[in-house]
Amino acid sequence: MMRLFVLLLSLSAAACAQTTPVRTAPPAPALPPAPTPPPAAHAGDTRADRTEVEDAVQATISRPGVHVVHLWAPWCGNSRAELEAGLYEVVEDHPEVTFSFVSIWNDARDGAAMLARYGITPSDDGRVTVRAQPDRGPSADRAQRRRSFLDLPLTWTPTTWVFNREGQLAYAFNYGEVSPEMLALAIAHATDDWTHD
Amino acid sequence: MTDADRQIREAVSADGVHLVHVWAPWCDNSLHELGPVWSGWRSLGADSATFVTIWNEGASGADTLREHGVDVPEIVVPGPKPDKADRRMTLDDLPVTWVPTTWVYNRNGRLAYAFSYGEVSADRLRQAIGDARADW
Repeated sequence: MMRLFVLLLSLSAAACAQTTPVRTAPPAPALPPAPTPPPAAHAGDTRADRTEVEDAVQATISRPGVHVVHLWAPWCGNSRAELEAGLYEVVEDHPEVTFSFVSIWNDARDGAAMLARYGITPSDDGRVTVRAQPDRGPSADRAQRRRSFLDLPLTWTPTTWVFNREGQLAYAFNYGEVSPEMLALAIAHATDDWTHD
Repeated sequence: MTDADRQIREAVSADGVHLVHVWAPWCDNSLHELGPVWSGWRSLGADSATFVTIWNEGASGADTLREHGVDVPEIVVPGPKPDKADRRMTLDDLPVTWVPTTWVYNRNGRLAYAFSYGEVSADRLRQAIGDARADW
């Protein structure tokens, strides 16, 4: 009986998600032109195996400023839970930050329709982008799934990375779900100007 | 794979939640964390903590750790302190561009969280460890 109740509760939550009101982000300032991505940062680099999607995201995060890369899948309950928790609010509240939404393990479908239902749409200036990372074959075949992105390990959906310093990783959330508050805090800390010797 | 990589793999591959902290004894940000965060690392909830000393001419930071009451195994990575522009390397196939950097592992050696900039507080680390231990 308890399992049935939980199932009904889950279905109810999903139904609620379909009716989440769409909010539109305010216009953001135009971004400066992207510099040439830096050379491979480490010996384990597999840049030769990178996709066009990775190249595009690399170009974005290589710009000055703070950048969020969110890897997700429309079929993933944790990914949907993050959207439902209000990820769009973080996007709206940080017009100076870029957000790259990349669907993974989803047969190269970008999930744009689902993101739009949760108030996240690509922006004309490229601040918010929606892309799909192709796998090496059908995504249902786990052996064909890509297990890294930008040479960082990819073992979970959703995964969220915050970059600063022209493409350097500042924070990684590679497990569970990240709340809007946690992501906003990571963005704030990535924006801080730390110095040392 | 370097000796340091192998030692890190050994440290994080067991069941549980494991911390790897990359630091340098000359780094103010690293020193700031020793007392407030790492002297009491066992209270954070992780199963292990391993320090990796880098960019320190291959010298150990054990004396500094002892002075601050930090009781952890230490891995010393050879190599000089590089210029700021060249401060990038990889350990365990992960980028290191800043000290201190802290990684939280779970699922027998998979990266759960990375704090690769600034300083991490005990509260943030405790939350990350709790989240890494949760069964999502």
